[in-house]
Amino acid sequence: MSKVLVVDDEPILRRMYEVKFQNNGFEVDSAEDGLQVFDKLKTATFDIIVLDVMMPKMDGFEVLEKLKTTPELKDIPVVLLTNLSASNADKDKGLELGALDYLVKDDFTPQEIVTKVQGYLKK
Amino acid sequence: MKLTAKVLLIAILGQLFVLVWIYFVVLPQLDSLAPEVKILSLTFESLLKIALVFAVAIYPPTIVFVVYLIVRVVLNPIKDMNATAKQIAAGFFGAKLKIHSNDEIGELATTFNQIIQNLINSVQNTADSYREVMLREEELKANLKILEEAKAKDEALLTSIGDSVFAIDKSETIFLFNKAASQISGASVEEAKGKNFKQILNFQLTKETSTQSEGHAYSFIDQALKGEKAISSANLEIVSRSGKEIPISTSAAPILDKDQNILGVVVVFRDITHEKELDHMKDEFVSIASHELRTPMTAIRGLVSMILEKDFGEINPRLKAPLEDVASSTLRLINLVNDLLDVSRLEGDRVKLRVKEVNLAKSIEDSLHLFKPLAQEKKIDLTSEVAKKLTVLADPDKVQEILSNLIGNSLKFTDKGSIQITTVVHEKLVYIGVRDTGVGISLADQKKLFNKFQQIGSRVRGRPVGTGLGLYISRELAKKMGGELWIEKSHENQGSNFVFSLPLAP
Repeated sequence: MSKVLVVDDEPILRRMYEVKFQNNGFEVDSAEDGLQVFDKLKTATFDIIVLDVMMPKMDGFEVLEKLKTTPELKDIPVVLLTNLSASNADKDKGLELGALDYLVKDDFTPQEIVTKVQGYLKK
Repeated sequence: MKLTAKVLLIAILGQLFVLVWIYFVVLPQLDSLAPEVKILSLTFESLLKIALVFAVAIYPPTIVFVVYLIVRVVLNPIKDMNATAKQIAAGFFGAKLKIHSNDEIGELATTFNQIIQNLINSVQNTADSYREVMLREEELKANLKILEEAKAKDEALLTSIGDSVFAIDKSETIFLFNKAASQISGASVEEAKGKNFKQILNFQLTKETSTQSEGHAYSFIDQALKGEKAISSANLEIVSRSGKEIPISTSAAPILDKDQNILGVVVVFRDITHEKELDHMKDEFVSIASHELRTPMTAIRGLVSMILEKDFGEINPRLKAPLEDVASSTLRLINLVNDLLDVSRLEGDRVKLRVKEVNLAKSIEDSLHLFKPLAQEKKIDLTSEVAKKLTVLADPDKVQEILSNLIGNSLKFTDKGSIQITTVVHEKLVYIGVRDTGVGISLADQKKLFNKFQQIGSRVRGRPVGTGLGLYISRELAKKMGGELWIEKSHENQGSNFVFSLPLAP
């Protein structure tokens, strides 16, 4: 069973994705901001992280950068999620920092997002 | 009088001399020559002595008479002239000589009068000219005063204009420089006049500007120097002496004389730091608003889809339809919010385009990929005919937006047949056409096509179809990228052909 960490500052969205991942056979944990991510990672490991970009305190890009520069964490695949219309620059930035993909939440239903994640894990 | 006396004296003395000579010399000579000749029983001598006495008695009065005549004929006119001349010399210019006779003396008098008259005329002319010159000088002084007052007003005007104004001649030398320009650039008015404007004003492009569209910072002035009217530029900054970069809005216009020759260029520019801040705030507001609006909508959409997918257990079948309606309503809402935000950005001129070389074939293929499933469902042929190496200068995301809009529209309004995407290159533009075999658009509706919130044929299709903003946004985006978007051809029941153009990559 794959383990996924869902990171989003919006509790409603967090719960929504949690349910979806669970119903698709994933083990799920969630974090509500960047700092919590690293707390969680201290005690557990994950197969993939689904990371919201717009968050207070530490935004998705900062988290991603920190993950990729931490030796034990840099190999965990990360998918970025955002609510804003994806500007090319942000997408490029995300991919450059090492994210697997950069998805606009509104373009996909939760099921579609989970399906994509499953696709990444198969590789 | 002196002359008269002289003449008289000479006459009398002369006559006396002649008489004495006759009496004492001639007579005795004659007598000695013919002592016996007797006329009327008198000797010559006696006769002559009688004659002499007679002569002496008659002669002086005769002489006096003769002298009087001479004086009258000759001397009086001369005396007259003398007296008049003295008067004229004394300044009495009205005096005129009397012409007594027709002879040389008369002529002399006439000539003298003429000379005097000429002199008088001459003096009169000089006086007149002098008066005229005085008047002219008064006029000029008055005009000069008016000009100076006007100049002072103009200078006051220029000084009080809040915008910076400067003017250059054809050799790019500054001849006009107002106080505002001086303050913003850090150079004094005296320093600036007479120098090439590039030495005084340091213009540069803002960091966000793509150099391909703007040329260099001074191109708008170059264009005005060539005679192009009213060029404005909104992507410039001026670097002040202290190194501060100030965003400015500029406008240049050629200065023309009455024969339409270019004398120079006048440039007006304004510090738009405040406006840029406002724009920045609007952008931030839009960003925040969009984030705030979308979060709940994403939640609703996501959860409804999950309910329908039975993530929360079995649902009452009767709930299926209403929940689907909720889902489609939410989708509509999301699209509407996105479109409204796009329109807001377009109208506020706050769309940031990231222009680069875009492979058109790939963009079109990506779009087709997106719509293939739907096309297959409706059994519509979705094809494209694009040259492989075709590149345009555009923002790839916006190109996708336009393609999605046009292909999406075609799919909506086509029930059978095909949708074809073609490209044509002509001069410096690439024309991309989306042609379908759908229901077409009547000429009347075509006029309203690009208006905001205009939905054509929604009643015909029975279902609400989109936001009505798609074509408006697509057209604005095309324009912002240097192209255009229009409906090439469409007739009811004969399908439609929409075309948009983009600049070819060099």
